[in-house]
Amino acid sequence: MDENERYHLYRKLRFLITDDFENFRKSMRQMLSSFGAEKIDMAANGNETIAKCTKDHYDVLICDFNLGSGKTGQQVLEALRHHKLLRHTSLFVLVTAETSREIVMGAREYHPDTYIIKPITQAVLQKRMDALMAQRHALYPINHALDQEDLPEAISQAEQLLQTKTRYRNWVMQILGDLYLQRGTPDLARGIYEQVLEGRELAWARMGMGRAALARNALDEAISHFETLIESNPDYIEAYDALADALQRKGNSRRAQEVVEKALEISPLAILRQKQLASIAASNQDMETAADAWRSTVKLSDNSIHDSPENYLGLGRTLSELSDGNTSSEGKQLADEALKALHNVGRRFKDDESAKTRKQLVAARVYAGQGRMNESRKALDSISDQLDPETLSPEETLDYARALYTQQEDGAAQRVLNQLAERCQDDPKIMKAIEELMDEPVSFHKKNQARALNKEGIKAFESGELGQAADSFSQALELVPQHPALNLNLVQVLLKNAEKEGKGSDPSMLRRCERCLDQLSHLPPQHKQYKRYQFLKKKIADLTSGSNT
Amino acid sequence: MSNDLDFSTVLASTVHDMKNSLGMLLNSLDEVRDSVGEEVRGARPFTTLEYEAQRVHGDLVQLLSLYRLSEEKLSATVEEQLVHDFLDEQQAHHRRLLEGLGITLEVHTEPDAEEGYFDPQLVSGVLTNVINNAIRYAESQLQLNARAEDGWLVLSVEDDGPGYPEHMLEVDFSGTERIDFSTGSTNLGLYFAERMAGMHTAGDRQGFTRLRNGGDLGGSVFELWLP
Repeated sequence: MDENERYHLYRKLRFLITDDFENFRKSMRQMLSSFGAEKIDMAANGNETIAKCTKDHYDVLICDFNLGSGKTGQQVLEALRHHKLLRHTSLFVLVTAETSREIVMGAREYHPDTYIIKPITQAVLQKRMDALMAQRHALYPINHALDQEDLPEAISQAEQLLQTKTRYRNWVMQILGDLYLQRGTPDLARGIYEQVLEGRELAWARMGMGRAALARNALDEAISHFETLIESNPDYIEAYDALADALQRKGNSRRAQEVVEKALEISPLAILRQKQLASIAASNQDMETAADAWRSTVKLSDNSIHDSPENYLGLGRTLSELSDGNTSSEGKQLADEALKALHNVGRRFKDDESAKTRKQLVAARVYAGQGRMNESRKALDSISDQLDPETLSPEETLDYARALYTQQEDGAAQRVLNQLAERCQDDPKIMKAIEELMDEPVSFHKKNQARALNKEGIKAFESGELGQAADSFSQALELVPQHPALNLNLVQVLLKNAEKEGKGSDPSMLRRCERCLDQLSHLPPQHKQYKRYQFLKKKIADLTSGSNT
Repeated sequence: MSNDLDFSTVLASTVHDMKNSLGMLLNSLDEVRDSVGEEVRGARPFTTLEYEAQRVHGDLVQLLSLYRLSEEKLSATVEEQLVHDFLDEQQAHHRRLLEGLGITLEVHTEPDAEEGYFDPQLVSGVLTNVINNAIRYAESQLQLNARAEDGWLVLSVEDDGPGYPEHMLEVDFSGTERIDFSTGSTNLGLYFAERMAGMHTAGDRQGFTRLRNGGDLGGSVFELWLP
């Protein structure tokens, strides 16, 4: 680019410089105007940048990573992308004095068009900007179509560009593969990626192969691509997220958790990933990990567009599980931490009525778990006028039912859940949550104990030690008396034992079985144990009537 | 307080801090240059100040990379690069200092070496140090070249100085055993370059470095071979 061309190009474009140091802003502005730029705005922090981008359009944003106390440059980019304030044709340049791995990794994830490491000299800036401008110019037709949300046109522009001798061939192929995936034609995308990989193993192409496989629901193939990629590029964060996704879809949530944990080791500043870990770990009943992940989520919530009451409530819920029934000093400490997180909900989201309700519901559980029943009751009473099962959201209703269980109002809890089940029949996620809660309305400690006892019982049953199996199932049922599978396991083992001893219709055994089945009288037909329940119920009824005659 | 201070971690975090400070210092120096007259800018104390600061900066970057390498926390992010743009930027990085010293640095990219695959940060770290070193020995000219050979991309830094001494041409930098690190930073720099080159692989080919004398300018030639 010669001086004259540069002058003409820069003069037309609108620039925005963000840095918390006035000196830096001034020197950057001076450099840009020496290249010919005339329309240069400046901002001192993230919020000002976002406000300016809401009002005006900028072609080039040059933003420092470290902006003092507010948002970081990474959070600015994240927010601009999230609110769609950054056009595809615009350029985002992230400036950083940091080469620390955590920060660079975090920043890469949001794909700035480039990042420049301080110190920046005028000569280096000019070279970098010129190269970026030339690339922007070459890819403009594609990105312009994307700004118009015209996907077919963007694809056709990219395909045309590939027919020419462009020096950006690799970039265009990467974009085109991505567009094919967006359009829902993973086979075409795969064609592109295969072509690239024939020449050279490149991370984005291997990633694309995996994504194309995911789109075709070929989970094993996808997993193998992502694993290959991580093997050769251990810093390629997106591969971990995609691998965790594939593993979860395969039902392997243990390994999914390991993968997310590994990704967080490399790039811990990603709030959504911390949240994802919290949720996977909770589903794995790994509450310690879940609590740590929620703690990190809360820490990263400051200035983040992903700040929400749910982050604090999530931490509160997990800590309530961990502290439930634990009145040692450690348990008290966890409960206090939970209450502090909940207090923050009230402070940070003053006008959010729903958050206030949910906060008190969780608080009621935390208090009850510490035996502070008065305070628990008071928390519920303070929101009694909000607790109409008709108007509560499904999530609020689940929290409400949990609170009722801790108040030992099991009947009321079940009524509320049954009502919710009627309302949400078509929502498998809510239905599953209802089912799990009704089956085991206890803390995860007890749940884990019951699960371990159930496993022991099954093992004993398989090796023919029927008496021991019955003991294990009975102990488990003391913890979760209404658990369907456990009750049915016990019935089965009692029957088998009686048959073996030739006392198949022993009345006291049959009465014990009936008591188990009575616990399940409210089992809804869609429950996965329902068929087995019906079968065993009939069998016991037959045996009972047989023994009576 | 515990006595088992992990000294390498302390060292690494201090070096990181020093490097960032030095970055600020170099930035200020750049600004000072614009506000002073030609007689200061071109004067020996000023260029020495800038050159030595840049050298220390390069050394710290190298030290940090070697630390991360030993902790197995360093990996190459190989991406497509437009080689000429990349080398232009390396040249720009040194331009003002070279002007002050009266040394020219030309970039030549052969048409078949327009495209390359490497980690720009790692390679830039290597070239910066090699150029800083070459500046000390060059009479008045440096070259930064790219060519393709047998499917390799060869980046080279050449100078018109006296060339590498004989004993250096014989050192094998692929292992640490036979390298004498006590004689100064040059050997360490070349070891660093070799390791960074080696982080670039494609199939069964692995990057490496090569030293020779001669070239277009008749001085030392440092070559970085990338697969």
